[in-house]
Amino acid sequence: MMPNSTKNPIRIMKQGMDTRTSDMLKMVFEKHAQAAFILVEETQAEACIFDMDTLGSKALWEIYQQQHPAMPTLVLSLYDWVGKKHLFIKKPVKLTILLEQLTLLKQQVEQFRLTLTELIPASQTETQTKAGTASPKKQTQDVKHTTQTLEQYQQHYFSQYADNRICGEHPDINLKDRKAVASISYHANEYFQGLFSKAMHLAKQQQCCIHIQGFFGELLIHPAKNRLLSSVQEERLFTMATMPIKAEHVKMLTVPPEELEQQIKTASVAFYHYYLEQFTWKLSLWTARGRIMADTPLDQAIVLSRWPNFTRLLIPPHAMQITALWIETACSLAETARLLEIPQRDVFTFYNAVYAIGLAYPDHQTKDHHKTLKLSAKHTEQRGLFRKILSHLGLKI
Amino acid sequence: MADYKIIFTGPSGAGKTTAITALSDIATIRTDAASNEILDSYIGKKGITVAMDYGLMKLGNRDKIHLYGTPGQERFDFMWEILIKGGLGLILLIDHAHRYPIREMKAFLHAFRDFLKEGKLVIGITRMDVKPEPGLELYYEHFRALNINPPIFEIDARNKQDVSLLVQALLYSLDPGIT
Ligand SMILES: Nc1nc2c(ncn2[C@@H]2O[C@H](COP(=O)(O)OP(=O)(O)O)[C@@H](O)[C@H]2O)c(=O)[nH]1
Ligand SMILES: [Mg+2]
Repeated sequence: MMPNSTKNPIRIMKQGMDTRTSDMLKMVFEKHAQAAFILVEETQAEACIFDMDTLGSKALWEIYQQQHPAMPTLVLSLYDWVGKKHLFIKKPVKLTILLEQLTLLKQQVEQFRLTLTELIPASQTETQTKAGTASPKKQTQDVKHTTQTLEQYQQHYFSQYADNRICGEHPDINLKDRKAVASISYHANEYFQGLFSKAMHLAKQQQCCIHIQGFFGELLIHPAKNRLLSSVQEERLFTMATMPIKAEHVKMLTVPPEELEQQIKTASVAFYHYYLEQFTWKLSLWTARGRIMADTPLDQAIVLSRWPNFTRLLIPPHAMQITALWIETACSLAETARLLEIPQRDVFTFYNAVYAIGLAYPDHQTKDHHKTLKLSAKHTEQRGLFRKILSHLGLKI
Repeated sequence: MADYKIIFTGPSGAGKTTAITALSDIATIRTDAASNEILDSYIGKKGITVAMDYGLMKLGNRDKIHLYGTPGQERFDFMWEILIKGGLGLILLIDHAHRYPIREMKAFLHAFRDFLKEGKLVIGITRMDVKPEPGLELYYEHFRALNINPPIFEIDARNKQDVSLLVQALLYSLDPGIT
């Protein structure tokens, strides 16, 4: 039966659901599950119940999976379900089955809550630095015996094109429609991205290094050397970036540079190295997935101060075109999508990333001028050739 | 049939020959002899020989992009003529591990100043693996002061993708609307 835990109810969002079904859920939560669950908004949710049978739910499902790749999910459908990753109930929904599946959903969420609180104690790191030994937990990772330094150059640095899916699948919207805009907006502060940018701020302010410890592993930030070292693989970082997170889930310590460097030298973990900019950029892509940061002015011209160092960044779709345009002329997000004839989500994604590394900002002086920019036609005869060069070099357009 | 060229320049050891080789569909050759049409006409005129690297991208349907690497140290006034005839732009490679990379860069920017009034410039900073510090900020600063904004990428000339991205940036600088 349903465990009694009204103190900290499981926060569930509904997707693709008509009011009848959502009323039914509410009733079950209150009357039959001792309020162990509540329905909340998407940004607050830690689990989801997804109705597959309403109009447009297939498309919604695609978006949902993009936005919340790791969220515990219960799918309801009239039809059989093949996805093994998710819990499933075939309609019509019976109360006993629903309660059973809700219990499983709850277990998944609690498992995640547990990992969130499983912080590595700070004292452990100190011992490690002094004695040069690693904790048992760390020994399970592949151990590199060579001494590591911050200067180490790794293959890892080479650029890649990001998969188109990095921008999610939102269709273009009317950017004057507030509700539509809200539906594709996100607040960085609800994610690790927000905590990370606080850490960066702190590091700059105090001119020190930062040691971040979280359920996902450790991150070491060395601003003076422009490096971030991570003890965890990217897949885990990605998953972590997609989940709403609170400050309590992460511990941040300021560390003097010499101490951090020593710690790196003596560590038995093989760190993944990033330029700080490279990591900040990636984190923004992972968090946004095609959404736009809340409160971004959509009708103000965007100023880009310089070209990003594309050869060492994950390149999202159409990033170079947008850069070339913005270097030539400041231009609003909406206008950019229109001019280049590319999806709005690609423009949002790129803007988030350049904003995150401090290269772009809205020019509050210049409202969208509506002078109807046009990309000069004189180039068009060369376009065919240029396209040919790009494809000859195996470059993505 | 289209016939364009891209010029690679920069101090010796910056990676020009390597970069051209990475992109070229033929074995890169050194045109010391008056074997090349375009150089021929130039040599005839000024009466000196210059050794240039030469590579070629064959795009099919007889469309070609000629890739030229300038000599490292010599004079450049002749380059202007070569560049304006079908030159898509200039790729300047700078050896970051050199003692005075900015001084070297300035010399090349000066030599090509006429071309750069109209033509597009892309900059690749090489050998940052050898000497990571200081970072690209060094170059950003320089160009901020000049108030021009070319693409500046860290590259390894031995890596084809890196060199290709320089070309891509050049093409989009010329026309952001390529789709
Ligand atoms: N370590 C390192 N070596 C490089 C890099 N780029 C080029 N090289 C090497 O530098 C040397 C000089 O390159 P080269 O193409 O002959 O320079 P050029 O004089 O400008 O033509 C070659 O051995 C290249 O393999 C780089 O980014 N890192
Ligand atoms: Mg050479």
